[in-house]
Order: sequence, then structure tokens, then C-alpha cells
Amino acid sequence: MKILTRSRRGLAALAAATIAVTGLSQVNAFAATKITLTEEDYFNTPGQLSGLASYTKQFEAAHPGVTVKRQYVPFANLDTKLLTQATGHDLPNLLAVDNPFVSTMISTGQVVPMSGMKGFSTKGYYPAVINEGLSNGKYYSLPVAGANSIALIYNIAMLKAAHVNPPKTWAQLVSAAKALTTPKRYGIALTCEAAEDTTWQWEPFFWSNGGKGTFANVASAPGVQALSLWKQLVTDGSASKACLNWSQTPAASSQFIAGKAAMMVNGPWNFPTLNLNHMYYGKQFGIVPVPVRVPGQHVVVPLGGEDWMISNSAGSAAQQLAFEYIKGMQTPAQELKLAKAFGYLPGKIAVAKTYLKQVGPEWKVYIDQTLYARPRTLGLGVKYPKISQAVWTAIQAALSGSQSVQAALKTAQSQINTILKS
Amino acid sequence: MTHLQRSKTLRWLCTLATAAALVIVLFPVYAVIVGSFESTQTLFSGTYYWLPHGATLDNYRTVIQAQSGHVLTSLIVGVGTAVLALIVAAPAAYALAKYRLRVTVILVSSLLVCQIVPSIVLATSLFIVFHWTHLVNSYPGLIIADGTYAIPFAILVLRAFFFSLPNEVMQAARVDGASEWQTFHRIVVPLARSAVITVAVFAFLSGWGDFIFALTILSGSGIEPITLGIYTYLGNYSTDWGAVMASGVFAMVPAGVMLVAAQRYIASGLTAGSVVG
Repeated sequence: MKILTRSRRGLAALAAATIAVTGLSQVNAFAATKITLTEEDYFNTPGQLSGLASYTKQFEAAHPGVTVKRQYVPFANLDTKLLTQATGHDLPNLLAVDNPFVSTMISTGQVVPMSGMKGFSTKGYYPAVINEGLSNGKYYSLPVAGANSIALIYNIAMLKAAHVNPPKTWAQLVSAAKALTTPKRYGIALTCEAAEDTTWQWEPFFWSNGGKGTFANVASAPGVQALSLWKQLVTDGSASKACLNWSQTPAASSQFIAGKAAMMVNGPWNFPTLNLNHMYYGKQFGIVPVPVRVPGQHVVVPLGGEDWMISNSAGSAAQQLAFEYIKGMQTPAQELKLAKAFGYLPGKIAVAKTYLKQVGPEWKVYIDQTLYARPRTLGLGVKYPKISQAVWTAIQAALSGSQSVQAALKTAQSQINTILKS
Repeated sequence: MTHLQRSKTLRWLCTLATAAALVIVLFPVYAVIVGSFESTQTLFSGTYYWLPHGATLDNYRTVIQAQSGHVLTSLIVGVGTAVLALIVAAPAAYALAKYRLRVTVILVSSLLVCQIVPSIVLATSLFIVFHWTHLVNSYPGLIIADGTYAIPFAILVLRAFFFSLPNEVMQAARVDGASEWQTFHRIVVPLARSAVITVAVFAFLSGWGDFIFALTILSGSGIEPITLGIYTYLGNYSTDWGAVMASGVFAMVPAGVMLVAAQRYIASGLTAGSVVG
């Protein structure tokens, strides 16, 4: 028994020591008069890092005494981390989240609406961009560096050699992919891994074909036709079955760059890597909108990108300051600068037009389709991630052959119905 | 078949089985090493190369510059966890093995239960507690969090070993006038050297390899272990697999060196308590 008492005493001493140490650091924090804004995001490409850093530097110079402390969190873990921090009422002042996650953050009640803040305006934004943060008539978010979406990128030389034109319809896509397939390469690189980017890749096919934004009709004709198209590409041998393991970037994009696929559906963030591998727009690769089933259908793409949100973990003065940080990014000059650094499209219509003139024609398709783009969480909010999972599971089941297209979508439909009702 | 022949065949079979097991265990490590010398493009080329194709040191150049500090952080956390585990576990295990306490059964089974809880569940609640006690973003916080796994395991292993120590040793020490504490740290702990080293190594590894606690507890403090560092290269828009592989190799080296050095003790430490029920 004696030993136990002693070890308990030891523990108490240890605890006292740690409290003393942390207590000291606490004092230092209070002694400082400067304001520090904390910020969390998952940006990791060189362009994103330098774009963000140079803006922060500029902001700090314009606001003496203010420091913005950035914390990188891995993409796969930012959502979990933010939710944990929300539980502890310890969110960073500024958070940059992937746009499908905006609704979830709003539902925690730990982020504040920006609509009431001094200088807030929704003027000029693409509806899809600004509506990402709309909840109960209040706006909770503004874009970080604009938005992005996907289109069909093709290898010009390969299409020329096979005498095919860039496909505009699904029938053309199927025959083009077949014609482009050789023993050494596939016609198209699909993305069908068990993750959000698979649903995101499939959405333009489904939505453009009359699929509902809520996926309420996923097992009806629009869904069955769209998934049968993918299935056919795989059964024809025009798309590799290995796509079940592929992310859009870098797995599918690397296939395209290595010449192992003649086409891919992908976004503008690939431009720097393509150029690095001596592939340039108009010379080595071209871009057309994602093909539609019948001519005349509008291409509806999902909108990607990150949004700023402000937490309530600090007082209103700090919240307003955090808003100043975000607001400063929304000027046309900053939007252009950041969109270029990130490889995104500016979030405002007028700025996007200027952007197109400055950056080049490879952006045209992406910019044109933004007007018809759709935020993924619109009308779904926090339900989107669950629905997305049901969809990618169905895509995987159908393409791997474990279920027929109809059966896979029926399973997804019943899951989605339950989620929608909840 | 004579007895000699049979034992020879058996030995061959065992060797073969061990070799097969080794191949299965080591292949991923081999693949990581090969991959660390290749560019991401080569990794995704669709062909597997047994030897690095178009070998490059670029990945290591990127990684050594960016991750050296993180390796140091991991070392501090790993050593801290090992020390904490020993300080808490050695006396606790001794008490549980040598004193008849009413609560022994409850304590030992709760130690087992502790290990069932998934770390992500613990991490969330620890975050809240640490937030109150200002332990987030600090080495002590992370080390205590990692201790939640290392300590119960350490107690169980050490307790099994202390059981196997004959009581006469302790009695003799007491007859010679040693206090209980002296008996413990002068006689018992030195006798348990291999078990203590085993426990220390495993505690070190749980601190070294921890990802979930580090991710949850640290933010913006500049403390970042290598397990988080590796994730710098895994992003939404780009993933540098070559650098991920190189960080993996880079992170393997210190832990590997330590394991090899401690190998002799680990084998005997793990089996030490096994003869006593």
C-alpha cells in the first residue's frame, strides 16, 4: 500500500509541474499586446502556399500589431479536426474549408454569419459561389481563391492520329474512347476510388442528364443512363478497371500525362503540372465541356473550392478583424492574383471575364460553365457527404461488377431516401 | 524416418515459413524504399519496377530539408512517452504483482479495457479536457495523450514479469534493511532490465508513430511530429507520393536503429513472464 501512496504522490507532483509549465506560457500570451488571428487550412501546392503567404504579409503590413498564424492540416483530416475543435469551443479564428463541408460547420453553431458584418456584400458573385454559405437567409462564407470545376481534357495528337473529334455527346465519347484505345493506352482515365472525388466526377454526367441536385432520382433514367455510360467505357476496355483505385489528381491525371490515357475529366489545378511536363493548351492538350447525352442539354458541373468561415471562439473585435482579412481578398485585384496562384476561377462574374483575358483560352470552358454550376450542398446541407458516399459506393459496385447498374443505384436510392427524410 | 531426419525436415519447414512471413512483412517496406527514389510520374506509370526506375534523389532533397525538425519533435515525444510510461507503469505493475489488493482484478481488467477504446474517441474527449487544463499545443499534453496507450500496455507486461520474480529476493533485501522503495528501485528494477527496456521501446514507438493524438491536440504551436509532417505531401489537389515515400524511409531510420539496438532485450522481455500464469 505504501508504494501506491508514493506513486500517487509522484503523479500529483508531475501534474503540478505540468500545470506550472503551461501556466507560465499562459502568462506570456496575456502579456503580449498584439493580436494574433489563428487560421487553419489544407493548402499544400506551391502556388497556394505562396499566394496565401503573400496576401497575409500584405494584410499584416496594413494592420500593424496583427499577426495571422497559419496552421496546415492534412486534407483528409481537416474536417475531423475542426469538428473536434468545435466540440471544445476552440476553433481557429479563420477556417478555410472545402465547400461541401460549409453546411456541416454552420450546423455546429460555432461559426458566425458574415452577412451582418461591416462591409459584407454578395454583389457580383456567381450565384453558385455565394450560395455555398447561405443558411436561413444568412451568409456564412466567402470564397478563398474563387472556385473550380471539371471538363474533358484531351490529348490533341492522339485524337488527330485516331481521326476523332473531341466528343460532345455520350455516343461520341464512347466511340472516341474506343478508337483511342490501343494496347499501350486507354481512351479515357476515369476516377472511381471510394471517395468524394468519384461522386464529383460523376455529377456532371448525372446532373446534365436531368439528375436532381439532391440525387432523389438517382435510380431513375438520368442516373441509370449516366452510370451505364461509365460501365460501358469499362466493359469496352476503353477505361481501365484500375480506376477503382484512382483519385482524379494525381492518379488519373498521371495516366493522362504519361500518355496512358487519351482523355480525362479534370480541373484547371492540373495546368501547372501539365505545363511542367511540357504539355500546353492548344498544342498538346485541348479542353471541351463534359459531353452530354443528347445535344442541347446544359452541362451542369459541381463547383469546387474552399470557403472562409469565421468562428465565434474570439470576441466580436477579433471576428471583425478576421472578416477584414477575408474581405481584403475579395477585391478584383486580389481575386485575380489569388485565382492565378491557386489555379482557380475568380468568384465574381466580371472579374472572371478579366481573368480570361489575362490567363488564356484554356480557362474558357471552365469560366463559361460556372454560370450553370451547382454547389454540391445546395438543398442538402449536412446530408451531402452521406449521399455522396451512397453514390460512390454504387458507382464502385457497378463498375467492379459486384452489382448491376440498376441494382447498385437502387441500393443507393433507398439509402438516399432515408437520408433525405431524416 | 529417424528422429534426426524428422527434426531436420521440421527445421527446414520452419525456416521456409519464417522466410515466407518475412517476405510478406518486409515487402511493403521494400516498396516504400524503391518508391522513395522514383518520381510521382514513374510511380503512377502503371508498371512496377523492382529497382528504382529513373532513380532520383529529389524526394530526399525535399524531405530532409522540410522534415528534419519534425523527426526531432517525434524523438522528443517518443522518449517522453517512454519515460512517462516507465515512471507510472513500473511502480504500478510492481504493486499489482506483489501486493494483494482488493481492487487488483478490477484494475487489471480496466487496463485491458483501456486498450479497446479507439484512439479517435479518446482524442476528442482528451482535447476537451486538455483545452480546460491548457495542455493543448504542448509537449506534455501530447506525451500524456500517447501515454494513455503506452501506460496500460507497459503495466501489463511489467506485471507479468514481476510475477516471475521469486519473493525471496525481495525478502532478502528487506532483511538486509532495505526499505520498500529501495527494494523496488535497487533490486527489482535492475532485475527486470529486459522487461523495462521492452516496455520503454514499445512506449517509444507508440509516441513515435502516433498520428491521431498529434493531429487533434496540436495546432499552430510549431510542434509537429513526422507523422503529421508526411501529410504535407498529401493534398486535395496534389499528392507528391515520391516525397511521402521518402519521408517514410526517413522516419523509419531512427526507430529502426533503436529497435535493432534493443532487439536482444525485447525477445527476452516479452517471454519473461510467460511461464507464470
